[in-house]
Amino acid sequence: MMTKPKRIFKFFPGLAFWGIVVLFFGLVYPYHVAFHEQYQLFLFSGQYFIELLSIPGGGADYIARFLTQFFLFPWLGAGIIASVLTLIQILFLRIIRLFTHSNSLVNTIVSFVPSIAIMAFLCDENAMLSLPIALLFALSASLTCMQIPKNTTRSICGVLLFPVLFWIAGSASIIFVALLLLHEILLNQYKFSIPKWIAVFSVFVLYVYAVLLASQLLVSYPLSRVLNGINYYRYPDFMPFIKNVALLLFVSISFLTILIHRVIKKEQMIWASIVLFLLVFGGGTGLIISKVDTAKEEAFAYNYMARMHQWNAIIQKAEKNPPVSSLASTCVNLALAKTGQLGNHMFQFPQYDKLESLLPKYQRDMMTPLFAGEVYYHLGMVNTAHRLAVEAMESIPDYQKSARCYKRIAEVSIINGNYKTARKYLNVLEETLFYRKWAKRAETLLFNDESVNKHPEFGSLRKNRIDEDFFFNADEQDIILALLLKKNSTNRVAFEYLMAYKLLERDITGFIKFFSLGDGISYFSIPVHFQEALTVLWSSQNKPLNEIPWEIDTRISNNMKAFIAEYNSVTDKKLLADKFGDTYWYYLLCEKDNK
Amino acid sequence: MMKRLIYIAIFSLLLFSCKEDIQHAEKIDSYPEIYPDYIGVTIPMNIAPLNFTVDSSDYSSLELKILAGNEVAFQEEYKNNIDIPQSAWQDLLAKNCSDSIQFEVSVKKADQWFQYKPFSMYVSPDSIDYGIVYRLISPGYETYSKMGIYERELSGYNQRPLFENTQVTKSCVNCHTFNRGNPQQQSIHIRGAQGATIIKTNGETKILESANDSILASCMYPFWHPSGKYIAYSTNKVRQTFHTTATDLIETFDEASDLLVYDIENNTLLTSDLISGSSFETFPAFSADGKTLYFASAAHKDLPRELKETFYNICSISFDPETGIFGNKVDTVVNLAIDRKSATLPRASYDGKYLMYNKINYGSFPMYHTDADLWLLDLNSGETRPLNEVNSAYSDGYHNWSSNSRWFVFESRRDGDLFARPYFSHIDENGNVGKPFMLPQQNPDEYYQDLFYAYNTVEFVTGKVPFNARKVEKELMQPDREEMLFERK
Repeated sequence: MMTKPKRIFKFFPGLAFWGIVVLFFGLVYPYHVAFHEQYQLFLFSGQYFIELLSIPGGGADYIARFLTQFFLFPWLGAGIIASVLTLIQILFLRIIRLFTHSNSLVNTIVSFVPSIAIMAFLCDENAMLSLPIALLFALSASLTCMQIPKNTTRSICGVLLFPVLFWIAGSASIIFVALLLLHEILLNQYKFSIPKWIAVFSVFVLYVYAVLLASQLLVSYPLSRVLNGINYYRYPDFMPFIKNVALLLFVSISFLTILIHRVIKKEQMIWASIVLFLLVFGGGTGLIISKVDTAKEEAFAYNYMARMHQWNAIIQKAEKNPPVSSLASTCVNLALAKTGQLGNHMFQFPQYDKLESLLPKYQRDMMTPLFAGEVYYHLGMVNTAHRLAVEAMESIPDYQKSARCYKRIAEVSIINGNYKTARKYLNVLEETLFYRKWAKRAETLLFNDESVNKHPEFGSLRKNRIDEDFFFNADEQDIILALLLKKNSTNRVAFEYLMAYKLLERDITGFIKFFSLGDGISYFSIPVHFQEALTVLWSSQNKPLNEIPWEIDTRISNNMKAFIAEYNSVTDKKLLADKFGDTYWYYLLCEKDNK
Repeated sequence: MMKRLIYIAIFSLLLFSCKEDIQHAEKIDSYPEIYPDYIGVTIPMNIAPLNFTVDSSDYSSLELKILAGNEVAFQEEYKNNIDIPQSAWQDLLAKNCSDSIQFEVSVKKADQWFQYKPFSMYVSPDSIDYGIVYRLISPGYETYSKMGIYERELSGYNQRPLFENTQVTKSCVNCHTFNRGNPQQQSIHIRGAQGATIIKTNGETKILESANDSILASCMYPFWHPSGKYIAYSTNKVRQTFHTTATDLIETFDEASDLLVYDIENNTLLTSDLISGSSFETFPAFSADGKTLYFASAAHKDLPRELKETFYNICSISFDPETGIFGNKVDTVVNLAIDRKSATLPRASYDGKYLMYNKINYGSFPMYHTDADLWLLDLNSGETRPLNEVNSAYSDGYHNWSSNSRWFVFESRRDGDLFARPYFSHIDENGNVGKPFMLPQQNPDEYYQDLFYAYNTVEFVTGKVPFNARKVEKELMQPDREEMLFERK
């Protein structure tokens, strides 16, 4: 019987790996995890289940999508990913133990290799959980088959199970055939000669190909996609190299392990284990580090926080590390506007591509419209928010739908009073796990204008909508912002955006033209950057600052004098960044547009 | 034995008491609110059962009684969706051709039956074509995801995909058309990196590159010449813009557009200065005899700035099928621009009697216009009228005629959401138009509620469409495309 310390030691590697993966995805990559959830719509409905099961790999997709819905909570997602990867390691360890008839440490160490490779695959935000789930199916089936003692039963089981497995797990089930063949060759109970094995191998290759071809009669996908795995990766016309490497590793590592056990003597195994440990975990760490994309993680983090309305968290994050992309900067500007600080603090943070940080232009991808859509929604331009939600969803390359976008479409439909459309989308959201409650609540608002008008979010957004019909023009958004203010003079977010728009355009004349539109908004004092712009305007007219008709803080007028003095004295204007980098003057005169 | 008799007696008693209940049902002096609205519609004798649900959730069961003359032809109790067996339905329609059948709906609420006023459906002896072919697409803006072209038989509920865009990555499938519904003569566009125009006629397939330097863009909006020798196209620089108010979300317009006629045998696109000048010309359609080409036309404008000032008329130009030469003048057939409105999408009936078109407030694209209505021009008398029998407060358009010109199909958003659905309407020899009915489904409420695709470009077909999607996929993956030649006549 195994002693307690021995049992702990037995589970320790797996547990340690699980812990490392959880910490990695929970601390380093949490928003990559959450990123997945917004691009799917898992439904507890028979139709959804049948739809997925009608394609090869649909069973694995179904389970993967079921699990992915929990990625809304990144730590939970990290736990799920870690559990799946650890299960793969455990199953693979049991398989190579069968191959080597050994419980050696070497087996334990190398059993982590495929899981690490799949972990590296999952570092790509477009790598789907379907592949590791499919591998779980394939490895479980392999192990089950290998443990059948009777040769004929085992062979029949292998032959019959493959098409079923292929339909459930997709093309990753090819490793089932490969591992089974390897097992049979090693066992060699049939006492076949090498030519006979080559013949058997060829027959199996033909059999696999026949199954793949047969699937073509049932699905509307080209053979290449079926072979690559229909839903292992979000983009249908691309598959990362690491995916095929990971699949190959199951066979090559098995082969290598067998070789090690046959070549290396028992007393040398400890050295082999040490070397392998260093190689696997050193190489693994290097591989994972090479796959980590911190810029994307930052953008995903801001996107997640904006979605969750975590305005203060966005600002705090930006204060710690200024955003490095215009999309992240978009979220920071929105958070500042939502908390009434855009006019005071926007130049503390980088502003990229002139207006792109404020109102990003539509791009045909699934990311940008989500960022931009949040801005338009909170401004009250709900039709544009609707369009961007639809565009983002329709841009999802694997043709999935998005719970986040469905929610936004339902929200806008409620605001616009298009209740029938809203109901259609709410009915679907009621079939989800995490949006059901919200959908049920929202449903009570349908066909009830009074309740919508009283709703804290929908009511105020309804009030903010422009009455006048005109065509949206991305190049004339200042006019649209002004119309928003014309509709509701207390729309503070719109006012701050309009002012920021003119400031970023370096259009002081335009700034002053629209400045009075903010008369309906109660400010304790004129926001700092607006004061800075007003001082520029006044100074440009060669008038003394003490005669300026607006209430300008003495600190700001003094600061401006200091800025002008230093600006005139230095040739390299970038030297002013330390002292004046967070002012509008610096942006206006010293900063070239960030690209 | 005794036990069994007791059971039978109890069961009979229950059944009898139930029938008794329904016989004493309280009469309601109004029609039931049913979905889809099939009350008073005219239907073809070869249509699938028109199942429906009663729009109310407070009943425990409902009963449908179909009366033919004074006889009960069908009677069944349901929980919610009325699902009429196909054989019983076909039998019923066959026996009551050229007559009306009555639908008596009763609902049971808290142990009390209520009977609605019976409504009728008229069974027309004019049969409808075998099926329809349409695109299913999510109603989007500029981007699109999964879509496909599907065939649906009309005497049943079977739908089969002809081509789905999962077969060729990032492709857009559209503009499928048939010569008067003949499935042997078909044209289909696949857009994208592997895109092509596929024309099948007389068993021959052409994989064409339909864009070249001589024309504005790819060929679109095809319409077959009755001889099968030509296909009329327009070539359009299509753009989109977006409204800021809630009523109409999207505006699609042509920055430029011209007309072309493709001579299949000589692989040549033909045009004339009269239909490919600076003005906008789009949505071509041949007359029944093939000697006239109808189209929508508007004076050139600066778009989108002047979009709300762009008004299309229905115009025509003569066409000689023997020589492929166009006439030397363009006639205005319907002039709505004079009233600051647009007439677009002309479709001549195949019997040569009518021209159906869309009236909209401006522009040429009716689909997102809630003001889009169908109008009918009598080609003999020149009289034009709105089809009030079929129009709704929502967008109604993209109409097509059945091969016998007794039915027309159109897309409507009358369900009140973003999703267009096909509706069919009958037109008799005197031009009387029946109330339209929605494409029947086994469980329409569930089907349409769950369907997040809109029906697009619904075309009649007279038989099953021979289409080998796998072969087409392989052909599209090959780089070879036959270039269309161009000739200005």
